[in-house]
Formats: sequence, C-alpha cells, structure tokens
Amino acid sequence: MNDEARTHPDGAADAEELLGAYVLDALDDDERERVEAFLARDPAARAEVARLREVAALLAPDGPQDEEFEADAVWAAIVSAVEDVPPVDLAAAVRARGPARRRPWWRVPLAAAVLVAVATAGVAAGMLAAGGPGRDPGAGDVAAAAAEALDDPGTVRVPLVGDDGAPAGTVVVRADGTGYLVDPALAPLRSGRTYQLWALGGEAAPPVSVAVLGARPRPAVFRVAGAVRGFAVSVEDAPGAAAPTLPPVASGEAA
Amino acid sequence: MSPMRRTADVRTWSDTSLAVAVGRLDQDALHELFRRHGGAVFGVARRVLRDRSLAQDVVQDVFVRFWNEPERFDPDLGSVRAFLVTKAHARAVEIVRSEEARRARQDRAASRDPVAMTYELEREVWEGFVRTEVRDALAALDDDRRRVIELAYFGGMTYRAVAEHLGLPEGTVKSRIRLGLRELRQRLEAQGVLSGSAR
Repeated sequence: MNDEARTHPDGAADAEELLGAYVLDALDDDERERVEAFLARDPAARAEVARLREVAALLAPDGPQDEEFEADAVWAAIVSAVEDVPPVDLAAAVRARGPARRRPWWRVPLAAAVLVAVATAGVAAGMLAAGGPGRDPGAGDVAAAAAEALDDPGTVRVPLVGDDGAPAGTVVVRADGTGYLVDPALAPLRSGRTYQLWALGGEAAPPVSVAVLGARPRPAVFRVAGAVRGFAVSVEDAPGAAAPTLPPVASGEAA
Repeated sequence: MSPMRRTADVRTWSDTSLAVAVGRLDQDALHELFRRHGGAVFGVARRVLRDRSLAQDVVQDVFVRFWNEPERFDPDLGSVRAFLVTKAHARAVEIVRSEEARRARQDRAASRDPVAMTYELEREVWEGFVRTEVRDALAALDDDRRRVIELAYFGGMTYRAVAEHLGLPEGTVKSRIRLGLRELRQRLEAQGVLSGSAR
C-alpha cells in the first residue's frame, strides 16, 4: 500500500487517512471535527476506529508503574465528587412552577401513569443514541424512528411544556421501554452547558438521567424501565449531572 | 445484603454489565471498574503527563465524568477499557497542550528539549511496563512506524508536530500512524491478544 497520504475531491479519503491520528488524539481541533463528521456517515470508518482504539488501549500500561498510583486516595476523591452533587427535588420544583398546567402530573395516580413496568423497584434508564454526528451506527435513523414511534398509536406520549408554556418537544415510549425525544424545541445553550432529560418515578424517588441532550438538542433514543410517570428537562453544566442541580426548564406528565 | 457479598457479586460481572449498572447510579459498579481499569487509566495519563499528581487528577476526572454521563459509553464503539483509556488520553493531551501546562513543563524542564526528553523517557519506561505481547508486537513494528506512534500517543503531539519534529512530510506521518496501528492490531490478533472481531 502507498505509504503517502492520498487525496480525494470530497475529502473522504483524506479523512480516512487521519483515522489513526484521530485514535491517538493527534489531530488539531478542525481536523478532529472533520473526521468526526466523516465517521458519522461511514460505518466502516467507525468500525476501524473501534478496532484501532482497542490497540491504543493496550498501550496503556498497568504493570509496575501502579506502585505510583495512590488508588485509595483517588477513589476517595472520586466518591467525594460523585456524592457532592447537590440534588434538586425535581418533582417539587415542577410543582412549584405554578398553575399553568392542565393537571399536575405529580398528582396522577402512579398506577395510571405507569408507562413501562418491569421487575425493577425504581427507574432505570440509559441513552442509546442522539440524532447528531459521532454517535452510534444508527444515529442517522433516530429521527425517522422517533417519527415512526410518534405515529404508532400503541405508544405512550408525554408532551413536554416549557417554562413559558410553549411546547418543548414530545417524549414517546414504546411498550418495550424504548423511548424517543421527538421534535425538541429548546433554545441553544452557551458553551459548557447541556440539556439533560430525566425520568420521574414515584414522588419520593430521585429522578433518573435518561439522556444528556447537548446544547442544541436533537431527536434522541433511550431505554427506560420501571414505573415512570413523567419526564423533565433541566439545564446542567456539561457533561451532565448525576442528579438535577437546577429546576426543570420543561416537563410533562403521562396522559 | 452485606457489603462483602455485594463486592463479591460485582466482581463477577462483565465490564459492560458494570457500565450499565453505573447508569443506574450503582457506586459499587463504578468502584469495580475503577479497580479493574484505574491502573491503566493512570498509566496512560502518567506517561503523557509525566506527573503523578496531574495523572491522578485525570483518573478522577475520567471516572467522575463516566459516573455523570455513562450514556457516552457505546459498546459498539469499543470496550469499557478502551473507552476509559481513550478519555484519559484525550484529557491528558488536552492538559499537555494547554498554555498553563506548557509553562509548567518548561519550568521543570529548564532549557532541555521537552520533545526529545519525552521520547527518551518513554523509550526507557516502555520495555518495563508494556505487557509482553504488546511489547513483542511493537518490537516487530518498523522503527519508523513505532516512533511516530510513540511520539503522538505518549508525547501528546499532533501528527503535524511529529512531522515537524522528525522532518517528515505530514502525509507520511499520518499514514505511518494508521498503518502502524493496523499492523499492531494484526499482530495482536495473531497472538490472541485481540479477537478478530470489531471489538
């Protein structure tokens, strides 16, 4: 194979040639963005990055140098950091937002508001993909899948309403627990801030992070299990929080 | 459930199961991932930064971020270890390239050439710390390919900086990095260190 860089009119070949340097964090910011845009549309390139990352990870030593590693002290600092997040009672904050809502979601009987019930005591959730670049191989289909779920009469829909009473998007949840954020209408945030979507269970249960949406939210897919009676969106410092630190900017209840 | 029983439980879980549990705010799962991979995360940060304290800050940052944003781990894009090490390396490189760190490094290094020193130091520690299989695969690499990987990965240099440092065309350096990593992958697969699948 030619050992020199190749060029191509659409820049794809050049971006492909940068994959190794991308894996080693050896790119300038503009080149990294260009490669990530390329990765978003090329599954084969994403697969190569995954393969090369495993190689790079093996280069990280975990041998005798561990003697320098004060693991107990570092773990104590981690515990302190993760427990130092001041949680906000999101349900109470939503309650305090005033009488603009047709029926306060927190008064909906839990049994009537259950979207998905599985063998878990609380709510478990996790983000699967967002409709933006650089996510998983199915990211480009998120918006289409979300729109399809919205049209499916078998799904549960939770309209989100912003502080100003304007629609802020819709959360759609399928019976299997797959959920979508559809048509998010949230104003762009400044750098360093992110929207975060939370699932709300029982009134005494803490909100569970469903998805970190970024500063400019796009359709997202996630999975949720347990008794969920509503969703809320808060603004957090990037890259997100373990528990809400600010009152919600939008929320909605299960109809 | 007693704490001892709980610890025993999580030690039998796969990395991916632990990552899912972290998404459910399971601190025991985070601790188990820290126990398994904290050393590797520290190792890569230590090599790039050449500063134990800064490296330990990076370890803390990586695991706290993972706790706050576990959704960023996508099993389709690699293992949990690769994810954590990648984040640590990126953060370490970010620190190295920051103006503040550059000044601190210059203060410590006085008039010595930091790039040359990095390379020499990494050569010294390389033999002692990398696992045998990886070391063998690296040793079998063409010197030119190995050197650009070392400078980029452990020196925290962009490929452009590597090219300038070695007096090579940029295209040559980026090709050598990619081809070198591919060759390493093939050798490690042949040695059974890595599987032939995407992950």
